[in-house]
Amino acid sequence: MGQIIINLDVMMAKKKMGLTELAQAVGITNANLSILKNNKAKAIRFSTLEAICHVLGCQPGDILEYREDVSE
Amino acid sequence: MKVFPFKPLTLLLNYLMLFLMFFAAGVLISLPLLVKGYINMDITYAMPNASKLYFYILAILYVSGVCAIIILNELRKLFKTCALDNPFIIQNVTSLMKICYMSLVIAIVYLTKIIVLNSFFTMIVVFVFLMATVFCYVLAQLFESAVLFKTENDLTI
Repeated sequence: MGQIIINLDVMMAKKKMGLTELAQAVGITNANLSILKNNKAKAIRFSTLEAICHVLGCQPGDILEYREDVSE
Repeated sequence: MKVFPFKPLTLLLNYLMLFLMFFAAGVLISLPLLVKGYINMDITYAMPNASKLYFYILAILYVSGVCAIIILNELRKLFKTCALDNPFIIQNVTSLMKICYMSLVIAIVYLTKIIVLNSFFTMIVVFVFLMATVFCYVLAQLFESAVLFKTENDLTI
């Protein structure tokens, strides 16, 4: 089984947006955005994904990436 | 999110458990004297070999007393976490499992008393503590699932 990787930091760098700024714009806490950015999250709500895509002006595919495990 | 609305009540229970723990410790310390006094009294007519069974009675009371103190301490911890609005933690599962094991020990100890020194109330004690064992085991499993659900929910952004 592979895993889903969140490439939020890449998009944030492209848009030159900080963690606090994005968290405020999306309407979630800094701590939760940090969990998401560091790939510690178990799931993401559609509403959160919509808000992030809206704020960063991108598609979900720009943020989410499926990666196969190297060991397999 | 407010999980448990009766904060003063849980805190009160916490202090009650603490008081009972100290009371139980006091009883345990003075147990040899208490048992000796009880045996010397006339009310032991139902137990003709009571003086011979002195050490056996002392042993079961000590074992069940220590188990009861451990149970009270774990209950105190449980009530404390309830008062802090965060009861679904893995420590509470461990606490419930400890209560489960201690109840089982008490039930087994009193099961031997049914054979050695039977009375109707001993049977009730065994029944109650066996039920407590089963209840605590089921509650521990329930709490474990709740902890898993909560972790999953907390990590859903």
